[in-house]
Amino acid sequence: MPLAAHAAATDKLRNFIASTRSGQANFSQEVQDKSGKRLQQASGTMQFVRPGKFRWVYQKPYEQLIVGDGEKFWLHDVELNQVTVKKLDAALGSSPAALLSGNNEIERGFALEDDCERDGMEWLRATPRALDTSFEKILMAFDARSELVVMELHDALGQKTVLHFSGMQRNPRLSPELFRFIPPKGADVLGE
Amino acid sequence: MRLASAVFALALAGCATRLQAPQPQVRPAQAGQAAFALNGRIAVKHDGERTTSNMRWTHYPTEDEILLFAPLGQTVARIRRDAVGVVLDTADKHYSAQDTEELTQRALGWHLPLDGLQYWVLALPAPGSKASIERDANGQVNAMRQDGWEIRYTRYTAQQPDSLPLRMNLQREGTELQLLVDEWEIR
Repeated sequence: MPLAAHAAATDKLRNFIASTRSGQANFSQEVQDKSGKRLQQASGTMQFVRPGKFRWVYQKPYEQLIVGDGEKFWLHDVELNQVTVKKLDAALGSSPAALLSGNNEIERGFALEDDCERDGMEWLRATPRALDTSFEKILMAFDARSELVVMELHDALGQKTVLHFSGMQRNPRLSPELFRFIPPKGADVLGE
Repeated sequence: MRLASAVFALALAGCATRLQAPQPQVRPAQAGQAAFALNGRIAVKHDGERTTSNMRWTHYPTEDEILLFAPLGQTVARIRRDAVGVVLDTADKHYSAQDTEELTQRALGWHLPLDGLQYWVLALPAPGSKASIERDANGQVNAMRQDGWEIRYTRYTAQQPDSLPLRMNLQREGTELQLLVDEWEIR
């Protein structure tokens, strides 16, 4: 059910969620300050299966693996040889991983509205309905082919995390093993 | 030959990414006047509580800003210190104090020894108190004890005496901090 290229971003997001049960992409992540200056940069790959399963692999400049197995959130820092585990809800809130892998009721947690066109892409603004989240707003951009290409997460302390996705594949067949995590032998495991 | 291949490598890199200025990987000559920024990770063990955060620390001679990030990017806490005092902000709380150790103890549950750490992170002793320093054969600091902290350095950018540390472990009375630096910016 392809939408016309000029469809509003909120329609593109609703369509993306309705038609995407699983996905994978490369990402680059930048943390910027208020003035847009780059503070940190990282990149890797991400995969998800709805509902609630995701795998984000940070490859550069550090190796971190983040797995949501549907119940728990696992973070493995390879160099520190440390695993942190938390309950999925508590750790994630309104994070990009939760948004992409969440159930189809995104509008329960966020008020969506179309934003201006910018850099040749359609943008939308998602504002959390709860006041206690760590993000003030989240902007998402879709290209002419209705692919999600950018997420900008504005946090409550004035920094912004910009995620660029490339090579997005919708509904690939992903092994369930990708969304299970077993701490490596000898790793320090923190949390419940 | 060596120059030619370096130029070729630069030309190749230029196709894909913009060229980056070479990063000086040695510490500044005058530590007290140093300005630096670093990106890295900090792992904390304190009285059975353990946390790991990504961090960015921007340091000027009279000012510091430390940002602690959650795994997927959002800012968990921001610590700012200047001549007047220190403040710590989270998404919904604001703390202020005269002293960073007291403030971080209250807000985060562990204390960040910022007064000393701004020197120790450069593998230098802080001025104003006695330090004992162990060096290896290259003159690089292996370990340092100061102000009740024991600091061990396990990795550097290179093997020169003024190379910058990439990994260090700090311990004092039930608190252990591990600091990993992924990126140094020396101004």
